[in-house]
Amino acid sequence: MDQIQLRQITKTFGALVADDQVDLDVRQGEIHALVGENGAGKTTLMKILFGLYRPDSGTIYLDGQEMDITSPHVAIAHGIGMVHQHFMLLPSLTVAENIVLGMEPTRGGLLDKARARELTRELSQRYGLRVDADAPVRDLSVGLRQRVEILKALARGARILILDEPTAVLTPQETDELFRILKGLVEGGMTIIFITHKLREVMEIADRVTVMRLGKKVGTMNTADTNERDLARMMIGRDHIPVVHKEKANPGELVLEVRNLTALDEAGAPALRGVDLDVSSGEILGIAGVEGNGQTELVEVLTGLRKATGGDVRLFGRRIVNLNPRLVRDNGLAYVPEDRIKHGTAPAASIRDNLAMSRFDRAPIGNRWWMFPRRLSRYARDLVKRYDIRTRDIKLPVSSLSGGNMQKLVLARELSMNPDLLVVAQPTRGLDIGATQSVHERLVAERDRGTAVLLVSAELSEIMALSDRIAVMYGGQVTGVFDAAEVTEEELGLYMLGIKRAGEAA
Amino acid sequence: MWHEIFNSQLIAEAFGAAATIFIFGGLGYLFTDRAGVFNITIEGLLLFSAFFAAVVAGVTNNLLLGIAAGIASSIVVSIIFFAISIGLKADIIVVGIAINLLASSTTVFLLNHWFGNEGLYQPANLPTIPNASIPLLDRLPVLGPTFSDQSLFSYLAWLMVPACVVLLYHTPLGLRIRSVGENPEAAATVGINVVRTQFTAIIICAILSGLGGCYLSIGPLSGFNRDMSAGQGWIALAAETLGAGTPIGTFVSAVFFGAAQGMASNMQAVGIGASGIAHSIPYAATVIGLAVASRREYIRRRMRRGRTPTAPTEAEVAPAPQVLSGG
Amino acid sequence: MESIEELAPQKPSGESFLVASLKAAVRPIGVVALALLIGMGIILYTQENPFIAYQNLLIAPFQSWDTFSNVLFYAIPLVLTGLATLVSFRANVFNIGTEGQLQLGALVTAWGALTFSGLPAVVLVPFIIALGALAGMIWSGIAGWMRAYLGATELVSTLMMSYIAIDITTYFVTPGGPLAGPGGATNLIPLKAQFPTIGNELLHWGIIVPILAVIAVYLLLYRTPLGYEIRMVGANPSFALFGGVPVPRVILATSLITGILAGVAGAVQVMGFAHQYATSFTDPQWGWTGVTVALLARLEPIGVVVAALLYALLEEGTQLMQNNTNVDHNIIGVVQGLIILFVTAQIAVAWLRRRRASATPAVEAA
Repeated sequence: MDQIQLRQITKTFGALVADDQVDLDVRQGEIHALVGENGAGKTTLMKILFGLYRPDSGTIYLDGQEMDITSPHVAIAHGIGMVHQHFMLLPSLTVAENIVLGMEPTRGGLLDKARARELTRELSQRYGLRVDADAPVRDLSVGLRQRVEILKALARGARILILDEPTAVLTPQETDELFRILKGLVEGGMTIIFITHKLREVMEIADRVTVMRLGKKVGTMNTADTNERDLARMMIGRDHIPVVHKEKANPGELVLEVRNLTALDEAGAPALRGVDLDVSSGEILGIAGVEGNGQTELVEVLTGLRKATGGDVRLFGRRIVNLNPRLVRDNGLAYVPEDRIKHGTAPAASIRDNLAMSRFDRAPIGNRWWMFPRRLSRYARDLVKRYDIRTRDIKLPVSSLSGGNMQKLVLARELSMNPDLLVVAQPTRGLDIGATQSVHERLVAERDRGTAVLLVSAELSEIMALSDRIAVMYGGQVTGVFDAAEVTEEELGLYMLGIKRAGEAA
Repeated sequence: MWHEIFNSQLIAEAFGAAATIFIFGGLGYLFTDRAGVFNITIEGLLLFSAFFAAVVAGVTNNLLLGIAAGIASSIVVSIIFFAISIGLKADIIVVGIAINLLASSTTVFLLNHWFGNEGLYQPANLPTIPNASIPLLDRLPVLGPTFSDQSLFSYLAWLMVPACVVLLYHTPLGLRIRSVGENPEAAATVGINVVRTQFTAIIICAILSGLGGCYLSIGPLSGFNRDMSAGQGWIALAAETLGAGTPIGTFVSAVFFGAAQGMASNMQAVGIGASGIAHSIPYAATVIGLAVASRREYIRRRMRRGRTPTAPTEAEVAPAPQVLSGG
Repeated sequence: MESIEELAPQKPSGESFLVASLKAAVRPIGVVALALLIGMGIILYTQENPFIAYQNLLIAPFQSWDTFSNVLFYAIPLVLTGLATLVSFRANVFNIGTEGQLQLGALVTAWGALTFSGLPAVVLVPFIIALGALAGMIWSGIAGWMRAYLGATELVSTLMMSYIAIDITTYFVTPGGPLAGPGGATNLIPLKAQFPTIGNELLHWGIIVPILAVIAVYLLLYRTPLGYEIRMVGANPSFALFGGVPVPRVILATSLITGILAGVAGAVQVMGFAHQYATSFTDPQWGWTGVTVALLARLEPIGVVVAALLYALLEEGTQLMQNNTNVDHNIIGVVQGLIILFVTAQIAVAWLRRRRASATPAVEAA
């Protein structure tokens, strides 16, 4: 009998059917991969198993017994643990406090902090996941934070561990480390469900794999009996994963020059320690690197949201370092931020108002003193058509758009400025394959028009697919610049981890 | 003359009479603040509890019943506040404003309706919270008056500070309150009931504010008059903000504001400054204190981050509370 | 609800903005009725006749031009303070100091009228209104500056400044103060600085000011770049920031505008109503009521007119009720508080219903 059985699970959010009568069987002690593109329903299904959502219909069986998992509390009590894609940690608390949160050891009604520390150390040693119990989580790297998340699940006696896109933020080497840990856990009797859209990893580590598409289960099989191409076909119903069609780049003159740029991060520590970069018109420069090595700060300095403590940034020879965001934009820089909901749009405001942001006080919408509503509507409708933003009405709030259409809106707005330099961060995060392709095509088209594009992405595959040249950032510096056609993922991984640096012997 | 303003009596007042309300209100607000609830009802809670404490104490001639009524009324109002703002997810600021308005109008209405007097309820033998002196400590130079003949509730307020430190930083409940305020989603995924934790924080706030209200009417002022909270709930809020959301910081700020208030009344007694100007000293002190605290925080942040100086952070720009909306 | 922008009416396709605005103003009427019903219960409890009370409160004001003109009269300051509050709130700046700004504006206007009484009326009138506006603007600007450039929460600073302002104005007019005339007020301002009355009762020509103000604020919000910036800062401040909007300057601008409108409110009340500045100027609580008017109006300029008229109706009705019955007028205060409570609860319920009906796939799927 299978350890976990999901039968006919259905979940809808309003008009959207996230899971449509899905069946799933997971055997005890196996590593079971759950694959599908964004929007396939994998995360929703697992959140139901973990008690964060209640299914509209369907049943869950654990070890043959029917279960009503009404909350994470219940799931945890039955040995289910989940490591989420976006970590659920409290940065101001220590590792130990984060681990015992919700099951705090007490002595006489007060927190027993010593016991918490002890518990953390025990777990850390038993499973080989080294952490410092007293370190505040805000000081930890992404890889370490993930370890804390896993320890949290283990501390609650998880026998079933669900991991949601765990390798999205890891380097190739950190991924290997994670897989080693997972295999060790399985040897100890753990069952692991592993959500991912990276098929290579599925083939590498999973025993069996279930493919989902558009809320339905497509099939389950042993990984030994299948391959990446078959899985891809099941995931998207096509024979191959479409690659964006890209002509060779024709770089022109130098657009962006960054010299010896230094800056501090939120905590006052140096985040940029002398960054040098060049981007020419008609090329895409991709910035590869594990999150936390200065990419975010670099983008903030370039766009005027953060002060540089030294160095120079020039756009067509004009100094733009330490200008405010408005002036930076006036100089020809457009910016697609990595969080389209928090920074890229105003979800409560209308599509029309959102599109206006880059030109609301200029032609054709208006001038310094006045805005013309009819011209604005015309302008907005034109952009909606040109960029294929699917919506009934431009007066609807942006929150009514899907992720893909929201991103199209952001691109439409930024590109309508006819920028000289386009800075994009994580452009396809959270988008399905159709939307991702659309965004990639748009970026390449922009490059072909002569715009210089600076692309920052945590998805190495995206960097490699889109970039003409790739720069690796490590420790606040650019440690290597490569021709995209000539470098391998492995090589990039070594640079991303700081194991190799340009100018040093291998 | 300076001697008559700045003396040990001022210190006594700063820590005692004036600060007591700020301490109670500030600590109450602190719990809701740390739990991520933007609770601006402190002013209204003070008024409600002051009214019911005075009325019940006066009518039953029983001090303890009065205190119980004060706390109970504060809890009842807070439950309504919770139900509408968190239960129904109504705009918490609007609900808070409504409750403060209701506090003012309801208490005046009942005052008029029950006692025929729109302005004042001051029966002759109203039981009040007694004063006391701490032996030995009351003989100290300079600080002596601070420990002599203070209201029992002032001593209680001081004791609340370490009590809150323990509750917030050394108990599971305090850990959960802090986590719910910092990242409610994370708290939910470890099985913490966010809404219930916030409710608990609101009740703790209600009790503390209720104690403050009791002190207001059946403390040294012995009586209730309309709108007697007079903005002190807001000053308590400012004290918590100035105190960076910590119990000790709140206490220090409360004493600061208490000193300002004490200074004002001393100045009035001596005859300096028309009553109006002196009366505004605590408020001005609040504004200055707020500016200084914000500037300090701002400079510190600027040095740490190297951020463009004119860019406010998200936290500054939108104080909307984070409430988990659930599945 | 996460931003004040959501308080503003959502506009489904096809509906003109005016219609949506009116709908937004009318929707709360159902719950206002509920609050009034509760008020009825309270009146019954006090053993008075609720029907006569409500007849006086709600119907009588419409029964004669005199009483109706009073309703308009009472609405004048509320429209102005409501608009003042609205402008800041739209940017998520919770400036609740309009009461103090109004008082200062009123005092300065009275002073100006008395000091420059030699000027011809044509010059004097706009001049003293401008003085009042300036006073309010500076006072509000201080808190606004603190918020914009120090991050100091305006909820506390504007409130404190309000108390301070009232202390200052009280000082000036209590007997012995620099501007004190007879009995806790300044001298009467010269006739040429006063707004002539319309009709037999209290209404005066100053009503033009709020009418102009409504138009001005509407145009500001929806036809000027600054208004766009204000709305976007309120909808999502980081979006505005990332888009190049000078957020602190916009915050400061809203504070200045709020102060101007509140100061003008004070000026109009001196020139059209009291003809002097008195300590009793704080009794009607125009500034505080303006905050609730703005919230009731869901931050729309047209809604402010409707909400202000509603409050003015209650004001005139309360007067009539007090003249003709023994009902305690404090009940109205309770009813007003209940109205706000119920309106905001009703908004929330409607919003919850709307949210459940529509999908938010970007956030929750996969």
